[in-house]
Amino acid sequence: MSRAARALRLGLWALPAGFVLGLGALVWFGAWHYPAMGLAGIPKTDSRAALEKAARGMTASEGLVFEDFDFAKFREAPTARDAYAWGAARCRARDGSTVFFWVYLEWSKKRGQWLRNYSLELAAPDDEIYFTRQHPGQLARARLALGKLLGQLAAHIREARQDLQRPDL
Amino acid sequence: MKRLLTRENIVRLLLAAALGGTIWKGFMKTPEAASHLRPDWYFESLIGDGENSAIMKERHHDVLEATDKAVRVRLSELRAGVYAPAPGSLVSEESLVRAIRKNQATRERAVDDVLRAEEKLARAKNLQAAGWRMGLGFGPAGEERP
Repeated sequence: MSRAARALRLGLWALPAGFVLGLGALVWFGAWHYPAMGLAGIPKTDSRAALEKAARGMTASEGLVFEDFDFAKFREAPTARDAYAWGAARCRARDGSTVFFWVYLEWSKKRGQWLRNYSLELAAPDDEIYFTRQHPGQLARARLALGKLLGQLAAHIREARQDLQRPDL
Repeated sequence: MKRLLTRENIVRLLLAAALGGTIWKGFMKTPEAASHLRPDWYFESLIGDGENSAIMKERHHDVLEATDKAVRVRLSELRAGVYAPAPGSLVSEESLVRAIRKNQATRERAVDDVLRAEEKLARAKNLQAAGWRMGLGFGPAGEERP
């Protein structure tokens, strides 16, 4: 086999391998590493500490200053033994306006610790609450939704990086 | 004599075993079988599901209330000049007022969802307390009349 053919074959194998590795890394980060980051060791009963730790990291990664929880709740199902904690964090944006951030955690029975669940800035400028039938158009909506997803991923990665730099955060 | 232990027969046997196992597991999850054969498991799952959905409905109600508050605070800060939307933003005084109105209907529905989830949980607990079992015969069709 010639060198060119060997290089081509290697390239054809490397492409899907890289794709699978990248996808695997994304799943590992999103489903295993990020939800648990820094929440190990906080007991089930101390949901407030877990909420605050999660809220500080999430809001800092979005450039917001965490002030306090507008409200925070802990709920445990007595029979199913699942536990949940959620709340709205009041934050200050750079321009001085108020931003509310939804923080939602679930207790993992399997991992024995609190895990971050779907959390986001409430009524953010790209929120679907502003969508009406015609405005924006379908394509603009899809672009906004994709931008929101990628923006959240970028914020999670920023949060993981600042967690590495400042483990006390 | 034909051989019984062929590769095809082994595959057939494994397939039959897998199919049988699936049918058995599915059968044991039907209310008819589960409420008679393992009532503890049946009611534990029924009530556990009810508890988890009641908590979920409460959470959905809360997120809508918190969104409503966020929109109202944003509107007041927009009117006060503290918050200025970026150029081309979807956020404006009109869209904020519209968002509050739209959220109103969703929030009213969420209040009802919370009540229904609580009723469903209470119903499951009542069934357990009454020792209810799924009837095995043919029940009367339609609504029962006194």
